[in-house]
Amino acid sequence: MRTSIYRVRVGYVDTDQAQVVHHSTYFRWLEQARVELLREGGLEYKGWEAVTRLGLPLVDAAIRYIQPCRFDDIVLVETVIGAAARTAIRFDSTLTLESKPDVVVTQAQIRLACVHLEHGARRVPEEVLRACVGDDYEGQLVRTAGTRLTLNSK
Amino acid sequence: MTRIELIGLFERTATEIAERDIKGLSELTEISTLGIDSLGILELVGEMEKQLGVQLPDDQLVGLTTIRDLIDLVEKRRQMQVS
Repeated sequence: MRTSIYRVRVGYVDTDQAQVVHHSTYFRWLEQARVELLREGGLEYKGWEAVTRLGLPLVDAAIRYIQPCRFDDIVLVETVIGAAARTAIRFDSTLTLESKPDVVVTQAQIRLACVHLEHGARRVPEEVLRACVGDDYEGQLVRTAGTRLTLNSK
Repeated sequence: MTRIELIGLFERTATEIAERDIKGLSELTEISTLGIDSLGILELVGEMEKQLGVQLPDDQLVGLTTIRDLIDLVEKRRQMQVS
């Protein structure tokens, strides 16, 4: 399964009145990290969406905020493919500060399905599975790829 | 497999996907009334493909409303594979 690291510096606009990164900001980073993972796997999302008229909407998300991040911090978003199925792919992300790589600040699991932008739900096409899992994706598919992160687990 | 047997297969597969008992279906049952979302329907179709050895292209699933529609599609695809 593919792994990718997306590096981002916290902008002032990313923070809130408590002077920490707002909880919604993490979703933008997670999304960009997924786009980069796909790009590294050979799928350029913008062009793919335009040609195929397919999309990969988020259908399930679980996120745990562990430590705050602040303005000007450099955050590393490490994303792996947690599970891949014909109907959905789960992206598991662990966020750390570049200055303290042993400290996990956030964990997330995001599940993406596939839709045709006009005609509705579709199975995840081969080129996406290849970009996420590799050429030998057939042997690594599971039946479903739901999120498993729970609020109570450590 | 007869049409009645296909309904039985649909019921068993839908029960597995939905994680609750789904039974007493007929060809006229509307798939949207089963409480399975669109991803669940795709999973269900995928399982039926495996069990029946038939491929049901995604673009032909659009517009399927009833179990009859699905069974008709399965039979049509099976005939295409045989010929």
